[in-house]
Amino acid sequence: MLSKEGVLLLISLTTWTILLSSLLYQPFLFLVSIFLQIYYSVYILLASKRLKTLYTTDIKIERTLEPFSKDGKNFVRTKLQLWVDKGGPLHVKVIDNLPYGTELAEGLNKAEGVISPKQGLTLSYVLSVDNSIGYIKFAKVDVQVHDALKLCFLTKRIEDRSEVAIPIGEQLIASSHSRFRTFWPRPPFGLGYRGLVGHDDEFVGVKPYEEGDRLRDVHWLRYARQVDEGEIIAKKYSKKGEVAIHIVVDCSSAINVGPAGELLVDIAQFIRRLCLAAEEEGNMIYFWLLNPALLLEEKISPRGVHSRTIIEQYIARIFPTHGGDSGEIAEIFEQRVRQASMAVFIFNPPSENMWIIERMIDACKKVGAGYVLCLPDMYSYVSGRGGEVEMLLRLDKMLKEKWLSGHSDGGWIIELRKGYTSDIARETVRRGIV
Amino acid sequence: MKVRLINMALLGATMLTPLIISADYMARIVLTPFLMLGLLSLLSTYLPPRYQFAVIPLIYAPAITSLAILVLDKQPEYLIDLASGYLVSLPLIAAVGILRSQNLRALLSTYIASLTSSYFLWAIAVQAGASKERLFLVMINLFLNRQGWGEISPPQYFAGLAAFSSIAMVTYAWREYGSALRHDLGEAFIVTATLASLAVALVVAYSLFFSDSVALGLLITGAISFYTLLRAGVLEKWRG
Repeated sequence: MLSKEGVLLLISLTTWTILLSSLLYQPFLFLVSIFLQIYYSVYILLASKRLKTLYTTDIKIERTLEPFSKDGKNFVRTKLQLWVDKGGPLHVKVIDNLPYGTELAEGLNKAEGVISPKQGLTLSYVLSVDNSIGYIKFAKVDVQVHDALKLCFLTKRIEDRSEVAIPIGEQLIASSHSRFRTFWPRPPFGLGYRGLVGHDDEFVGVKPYEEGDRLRDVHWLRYARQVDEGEIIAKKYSKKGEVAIHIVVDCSSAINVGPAGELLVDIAQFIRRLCLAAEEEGNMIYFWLLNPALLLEEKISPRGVHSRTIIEQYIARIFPTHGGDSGEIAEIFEQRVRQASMAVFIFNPPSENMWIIERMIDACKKVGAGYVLCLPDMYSYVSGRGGEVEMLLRLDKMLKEKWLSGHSDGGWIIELRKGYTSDIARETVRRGIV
Repeated sequence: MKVRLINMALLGATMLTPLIISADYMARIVLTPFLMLGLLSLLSTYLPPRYQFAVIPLIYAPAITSLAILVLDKQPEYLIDLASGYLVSLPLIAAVGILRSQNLRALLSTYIASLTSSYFLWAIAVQAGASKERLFLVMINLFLNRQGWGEISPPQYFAGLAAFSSIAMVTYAWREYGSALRHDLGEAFIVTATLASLAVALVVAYSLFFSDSVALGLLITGAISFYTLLRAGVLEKWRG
């Protein structure tokens, strides 16, 4: 494709040619202008054709991430190196796409230079990370390969799924933990301190050993019997009376509410407190993210989550995305949900993923699992009322009520209000849920 | 070192044509003190930073003096000479711009500006010599009366010089800015230069037999530019 330089060059040459030929008829200058214009036009055609045959798969990327904290803020020092495995030198311009929840604090996320097997290009910059984000993930790097004279270029997107957990996220959890104790005097569905569940693990069978299983859970006797096969077998336990808490979050564009995404921040806080309460009782958390931008294994937690870092990783994946989810997640949910399960649906109807949520709710009803519907109170998130805004808010409320009237039977409803997600109990009482 | 020397030689060859044409017209005009002051005052803007203090007096002193003479003595010649001095400095300023250009577009723009301005000043100087008028007034007359351009015919060696400097400029641009991909695109330089030269030769050959070759030149350049914009720009963007 033509670069800005190439377009300007062609336009300026055309202007000169027309000016010299028609306005100031001067053959000698006109011929010079013709020569240059034809030269650069043909050059651009040849160069752009040549660029298309380049193998950009030979471009290699390596990233190093170093999180640090300064004056109560979180930063990540990022270093990206590019080089080419084989072939001649390439003139490239690199633009690193910043991950969700980060801003550039120092340096630039773009660089320009020549890369070859001998010579690499290094990008170095510092990102400031939003305090509500405990995990950042890079996705793609844009690489523009230029021709020799920078008149045309070819853009390639190179996958780079680097990720880093921000340690400060754990501190946030710890601080929210204490607040949660204060604000939730009588929590529903086994989340509180008066244990509805015990800690007596019951042996229910065996399973192949997975990464993350404790060493003491390895079934050594069974392993000794079939040692030739080499597969390690682990014991499988379930807690008596354990409630599996499934947190379902609709990451459609409908959750992007508030001038600075206040609903997103509130959802993150709400989930943290929910997880902490579940953790106190020994209940397992399962995440289900309806986010089409993620891979299936990133949307669903394969096992019960109890690590605070992993919880933060899932929270970081909650960001508004355009387009609906494929719905594959609903089928897996139907297989996993049990009677001793509870699902918390966090969403903002109407959205593109409503049909998936409806299917999941039906699955809960079918097996007799409890469920809670958490919807935002849009009046608290939208400021500057009046006129059309007021009308839209009323319409939104009407749609929500209509939808709830068809799907809320058997479940609870919690309304998320701006800044009041820590006071869920009060909201719960107000709505007459308990 | 050798590469640097070759690049400097090519840059010198690029600037040679505007400089020779400038020397030609400088020889044709009467160099008055205020014309020289005007010329030097604009060129002084390119002085190194440590001598920049001299720029303001060099620009303002002659300007205020000539203006004072005009107002007090009612003699406009000095102001006109100063304006002529500014005018004759334009090709030289553009030539310095060629030396200082940081990218291809700047190089090309300053080269064409230098060549065009030097040629126009040469034409104005020829007219001034014939009519015994001052340079600045001849320029105004030429622009007001466009038929005046038809009376001027440049010598044949100008065309040869322009071809020489154009090829030097294209070669210099390739060597200086085409650091990467030279191995892959080395043939492009030869192919494009040959095609452009053939097109120019076609237009010149056409002009020997037919009266107006401008239309043909415009058609060729227009068609190729349009095709380039479509092929490498618009369609690519649309697809991408």
